[in-house]
Amino acid sequence: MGDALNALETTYFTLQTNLNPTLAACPDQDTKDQVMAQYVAARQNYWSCINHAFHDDDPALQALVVQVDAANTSLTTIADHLGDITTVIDDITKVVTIGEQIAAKVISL
Amino acid sequence: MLTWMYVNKRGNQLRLVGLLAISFVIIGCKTQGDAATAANQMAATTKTLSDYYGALDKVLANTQEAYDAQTVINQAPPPDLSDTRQQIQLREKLATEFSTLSATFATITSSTAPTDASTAAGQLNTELVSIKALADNATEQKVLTSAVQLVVSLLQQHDEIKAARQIEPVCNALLKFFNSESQFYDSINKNYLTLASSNAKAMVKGNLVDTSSLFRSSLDPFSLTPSIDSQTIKTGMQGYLDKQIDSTFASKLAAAQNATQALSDSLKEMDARIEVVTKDKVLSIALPPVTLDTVESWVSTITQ
Repeated sequence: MGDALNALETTYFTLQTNLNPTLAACPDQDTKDQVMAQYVAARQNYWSCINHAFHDDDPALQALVVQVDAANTSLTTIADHLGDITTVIDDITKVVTIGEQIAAKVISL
Repeated sequence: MLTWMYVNKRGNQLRLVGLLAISFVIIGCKTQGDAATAANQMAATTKTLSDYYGALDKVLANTQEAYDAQTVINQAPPPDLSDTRQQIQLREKLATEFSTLSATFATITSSTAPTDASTAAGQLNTELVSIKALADNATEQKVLTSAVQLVVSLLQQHDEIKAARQIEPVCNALLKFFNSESQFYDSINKNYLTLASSNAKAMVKGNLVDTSSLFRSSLDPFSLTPSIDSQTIKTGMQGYLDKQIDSTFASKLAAAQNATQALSDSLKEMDARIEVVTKDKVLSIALPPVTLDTVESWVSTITQ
């Protein structure tokens, strides 16, 4: 599978799978809104890449993929760390931000 | 050399239309019978390709509904998948037209009457101009219809081998095109199942599903109907239902991925058969690729 699509898919699918329990762990509406905003952004990144061609040989794109792959590892244990929702949101935000850069790069190619 | 690449939204140069149609017929057959057989096999293969895209469009429609359901569950705003659906529907239409064209070519090769061949050729050109991607490009349309006429002429002269050798690269291009996009097709299927699974588990957790299914096998022999009111039983069923969701997710995902691979294998098989025939050998296989059955089986589970 194309590395870029794979990276964005991993981010989005991980968030999708854990969305409801993560929202349930949020102490207030403001925190829920933060989680939802990141989920929507990750989902948009994914669909942007589905709708556009991937040029995996682009060096800048490859560098971004390496970054998001590293960040995705922090999301794999999301379900185990819902007690520290602030850290969870920070990890999610980092990954989604890189994903937005990938999606923007893909669209520009 | 007849090589066209259809320009899809990604900018890839893949115009397969006329050449693909040509490929079936030509497939290097020595006899009219072989040419018609090869054309019919390609018609069946591209018909299944069209069915596959139709099923993928249905998956996207289901995905849109699942996003709407998710909005009710956790207020996540739904995305708009109309662009994606439009792209898949375009591929479905092209595959349908390829199948129609190849079936018409089969008619030409098996026809001994000059008038039949002319009628079929006219029908071919009608199909070609109806393809929107070509209708928007007058130059390409002219080139393509000229190519079709050339192939028809070769077929009428029963010079199938010469015609076939111009076609094989196109069949190979179709295979490469499908393989270049197969990761997206698989991802679309996985996304739907992931989303549906997330919704389903949320509804199970909220006691919003009928939990009586587990008890039917115990009650059906006695013509009894379950009526589950106990909160204890409903809560106790959640683990069972979550496992059911997980196992069904895995099996349905595997079936979708197997269908994609089977279609790739079918296109590869047709490309190989065409290549054999262009080497002036006899097409000994009378039936379309058997891997098409795997694809149609998956399609039926989606479109039922």
